Amino acid sequence: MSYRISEVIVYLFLALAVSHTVLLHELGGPVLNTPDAIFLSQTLMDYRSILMIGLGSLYVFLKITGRDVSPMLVIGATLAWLTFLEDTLALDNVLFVPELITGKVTQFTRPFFLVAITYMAVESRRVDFDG
Amino acid sequence: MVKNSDENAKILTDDELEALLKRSPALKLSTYGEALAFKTKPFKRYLIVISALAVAYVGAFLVGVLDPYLAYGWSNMREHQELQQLRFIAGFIMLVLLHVWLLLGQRLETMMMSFTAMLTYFQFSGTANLLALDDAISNPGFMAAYVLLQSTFILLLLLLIREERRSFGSN
Repeated sequence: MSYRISEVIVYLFLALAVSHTVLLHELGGPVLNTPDAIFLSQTLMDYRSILMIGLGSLYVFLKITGRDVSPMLVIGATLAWLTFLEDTLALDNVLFVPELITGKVTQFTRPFFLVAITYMAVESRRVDFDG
Repeated sequence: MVKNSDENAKILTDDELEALLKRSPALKLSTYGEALAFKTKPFKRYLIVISALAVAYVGAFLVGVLDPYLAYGWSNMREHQELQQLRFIAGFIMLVLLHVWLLLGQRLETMMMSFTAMLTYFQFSGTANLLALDDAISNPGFMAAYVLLQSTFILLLLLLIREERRSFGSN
């Protein structure tokens, strides 16, 4: 049950983050305050979105085909924490756009997403070790 | 009489009982010799090469030799500088974790897969940053060297994963 809830949170966050990136792309300059933010949004966010779509699709594929999702989840959780640390420690949340509702919701759901994906990774490892 | 019956009822000897009660540490550090004893020869070679390269790379960054060649050197953006610092620290932590995990006798496969994913992310976003900077992209020699160096780490990790699987006979 907890795993299923975590899965829903992860899917929800991925959908929000991708739609936020698309929206930023559409609006571009007007919502991003500094030239640095515009530059970083073009280089970092697009690749992160591609990464999220890629990893999310791979997870769904592995799940459907009944293969082991554990390494995939560990990789996903590691990258999620890494990008979170990058944003908060190095980028000072320059990519956070409070003017957009998707920005606010993405930022708010991020801790839930981190907890959920970490739980999923740990749970899948536990099942691997037990089984 | 009572004592005799107690002696007969004793299932375990004192030595056996002592051995059972003796706490075995959940995680025990071994020497490199012990940790690498069951690894394949290529694994040992790749480990030495990747460790030496990573230490040299981090060392070169710490003394500032790499600054002009990284995104910060081209863009002078504070965010790039902080991002690089964080990534180099992450790289160094990855190297330390790899060795600690090895010495603890743990399976390295999933950890190395995570590291490969992280380095691939670093390479893609790093290259994307450089591609967006006109000065960097106009220097194809530098771009080629940058991609080649980053790819070397990823390739070495992939080779290490293959050898790790071979070491455990799962390939």
